[in-house]
Amino acid sequence: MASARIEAIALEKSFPGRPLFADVSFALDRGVLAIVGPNGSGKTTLVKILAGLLTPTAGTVRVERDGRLLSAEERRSAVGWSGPDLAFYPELTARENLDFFGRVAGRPASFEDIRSLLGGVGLAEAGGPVEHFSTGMKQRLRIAFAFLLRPDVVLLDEPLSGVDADGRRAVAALVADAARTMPVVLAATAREELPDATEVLEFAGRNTGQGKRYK
Amino acid sequence: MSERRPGFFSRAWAVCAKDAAQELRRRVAIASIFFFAATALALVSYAVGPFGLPPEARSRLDASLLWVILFFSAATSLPRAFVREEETGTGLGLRKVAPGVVVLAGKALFNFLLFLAIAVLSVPAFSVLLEWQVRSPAGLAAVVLLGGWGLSIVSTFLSALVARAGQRNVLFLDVSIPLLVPLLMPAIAATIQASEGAVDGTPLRVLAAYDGAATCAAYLLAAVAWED
Amino acid sequence: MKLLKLLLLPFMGAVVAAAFLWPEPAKGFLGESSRIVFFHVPCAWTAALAFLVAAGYSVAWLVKRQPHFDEVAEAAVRLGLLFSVLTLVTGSLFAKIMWGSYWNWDPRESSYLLLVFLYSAYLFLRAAVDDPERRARIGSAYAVFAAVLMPFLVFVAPRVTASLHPQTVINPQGKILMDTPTRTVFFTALAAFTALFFWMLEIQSRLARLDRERAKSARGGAG
Repeated sequence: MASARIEAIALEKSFPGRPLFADVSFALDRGVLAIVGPNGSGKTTLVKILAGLLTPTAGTVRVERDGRLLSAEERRSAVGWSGPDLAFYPELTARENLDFFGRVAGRPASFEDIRSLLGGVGLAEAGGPVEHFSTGMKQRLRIAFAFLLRPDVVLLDEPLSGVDADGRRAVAALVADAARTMPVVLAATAREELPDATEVLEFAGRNTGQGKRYK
Repeated sequence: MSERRPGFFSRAWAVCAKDAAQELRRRVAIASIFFFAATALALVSYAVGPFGLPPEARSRLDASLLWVILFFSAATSLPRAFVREEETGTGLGLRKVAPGVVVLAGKALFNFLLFLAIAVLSVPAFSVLLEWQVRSPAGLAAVVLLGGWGLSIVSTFLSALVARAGQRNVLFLDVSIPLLVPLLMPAIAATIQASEGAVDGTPLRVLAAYDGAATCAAYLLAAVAWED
Repeated sequence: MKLLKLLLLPFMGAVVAAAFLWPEPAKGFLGESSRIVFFHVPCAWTAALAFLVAAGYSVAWLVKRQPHFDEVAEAAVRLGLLFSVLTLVTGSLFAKIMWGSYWNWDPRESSYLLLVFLYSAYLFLRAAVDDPERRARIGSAYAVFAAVLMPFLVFVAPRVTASLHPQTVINPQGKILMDTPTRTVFFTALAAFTALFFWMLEIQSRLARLDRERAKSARGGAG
């Protein structure tokens, strides 16, 4: 089993006339880091930077597997991510969506793997195109997407948003299972919305530019 | 033991196959493209007919009309390659798992196959309706293949740029037409030669050079155009 | 540098005067119309040069990501647009004299019209994007892509189709078809227009940098 580590070093992000955060640093080998803060505090932006979807204004993100620094291309599959603005192809089914993303990532998943993944988020019986999915079902599919490429690090932004009690239990179980062997980063507006976290990073609010860290 | 991972072309093919699956399921978009081509053909045939053009100008005008029909039929779908990904929000997931060059190649391939489908149906119909003779079918095939690829790669790349900006449909026509005219001019010249049976190869070489330059530039700039 | 700028005005003046006073009108052209070559061709050359400069600075921005390079690229495109329009105007005047109409959809004429559209498109594309980083990235990608395809527009496509345009300086025989006085004034005019372009480019990019620094100060040094 590979050991992974994610490290943020002095991350800063600002847009013209709008500094978002500065000097955010942490390192995680395994367990759960929860990022909490109000709307607009920069949580989603930070998670996207960690996922490689956005470039920081300053600072670095390092992802290591077995002590080796991963390249940007390797991080695409090594870092699993889901966020509230992740959408799926409405004409395709859940299985077809995941199958497509696996193929285009160069890591096709077998029929059984996808079925197991969908079962893990409670979508085993969900048929039909995604355009007919409810909000909660789409959110569960987002979680499945994050775990699709057998990642070494998982980032989940607002993982329980719109999900019912059954779904919350399923997601919490997935997170707990993953956190035993890999770093998991979760983001939400309130700590209560997240499964148990080993560490917490608090974003204080708009334009304060600082993240506080406490356990 | 490391598992054998799919290569670049397999990944690009996955993008092409997904776009095809979406279009075939939606059907409205594909139908509208072919309906546009059929309408344009019908209008041209009605207005000009097989004997409406002076004989000395026929090969030049027929070639131009054919490319007008092919280009504008394709133009109803070409901008949508990347624009739709941004509009539906699926671009984010795609950007997460694949580099821009893989996605660009897959979408360009889909656009190329769509263009060929339009050409396969339109060219024979054009030939019948306007009594247009092609003395060098091989020459015509070459120009459709080369012209189609150039059209696809340039339009797909520009669609990636326009997708990250606003006012997408209007913007696409503004940015694409100046870059596509140097493709259409030799394409029409080569089509004239193919219909007259006097293929000297110059316009085909220009097309091949254009396609090569555009493909290399799109390959090198793909990541810049689409990723953040 | 300041001395060179001060000398540019009399230099241009001398070129303009020489263009009208020194070489004899060329054979095969109506009246004095051949003198347009001393203005029309340098404008066309400068328009093409501007786009190459824009592409070069766009590549520099893509590599270094410094705002100054993007500012120079945009300034070069704006000047390229100006000189393209001047090319069309001078070319149209010549066309009216020689062929009786301002516009003939001649392939060479039309290629510069398309160049105007091409770089207007660059400015439209930039105007549609709010974020400066993304605007610079999209603009740079388009400028480089367009520069790769530009030779087909300006040099290749007009040669594939028949044209009314006179034999160009860069011609298939590889010979410069001009007498000595004409050749002297012509190449001097090319140098003068090139100097004018770089002078205007320096002013435009300096203005853009001042605007950026003022905006940064207004925000209190952030962003």
